[in-house]
Amino acid sequence: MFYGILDLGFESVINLFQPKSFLIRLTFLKHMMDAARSEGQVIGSKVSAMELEQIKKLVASGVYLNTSDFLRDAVRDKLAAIKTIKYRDVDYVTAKKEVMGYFQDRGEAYPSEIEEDLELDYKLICQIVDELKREGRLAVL
Amino acid sequence: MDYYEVGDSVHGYRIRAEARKISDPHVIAKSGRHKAQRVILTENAEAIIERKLVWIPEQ
Repeated sequence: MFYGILDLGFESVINLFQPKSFLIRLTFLKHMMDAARSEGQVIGSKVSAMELEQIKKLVASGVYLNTSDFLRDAVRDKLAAIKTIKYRDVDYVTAKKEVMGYFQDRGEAYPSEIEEDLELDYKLICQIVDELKREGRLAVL
Repeated sequence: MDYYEVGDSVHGYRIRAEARKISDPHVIAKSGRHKAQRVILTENAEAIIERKLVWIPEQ
């Protein structure tokens, strides 16, 4: 529950203490119930004294509520920044059909876009694209 | 064509690169017009120039 309250953000906590409207209080209660339902896990990590000092400065300046708030925000940012592409194990003929379908659908694309959208190995896409170029079905823009 | 020698360079409008580690981008400001960002790829770094491809419908 403690972690849930912190997840709500500074504004929601302030709103609780300002009797603006009953609706705000209801929203806050709903947030609290949602947070309680999604129980978090506690993890431990060692940071250097200098890093901790920098975090404490940010907390003192009001950017973050506390050290945990900073760490949660940092983890969220990192997870959002890293997108995993998992290649599917597809044979050449099937992959070629998928790539052709992709181009017929979109008209134009970069090979890396196909890699990301179809989750196919980049080298396999390059082979297919070369073949399609030789067959006259693809052209460089 | 694969290049492995120190000093070999790749120039292109769009380059797809992969590596085990990628540094955060640093802004390089040489002049008013010449602004770029620099990243460093380490361990099994590989880069390839990409061009946009267009589908040619069957006649």
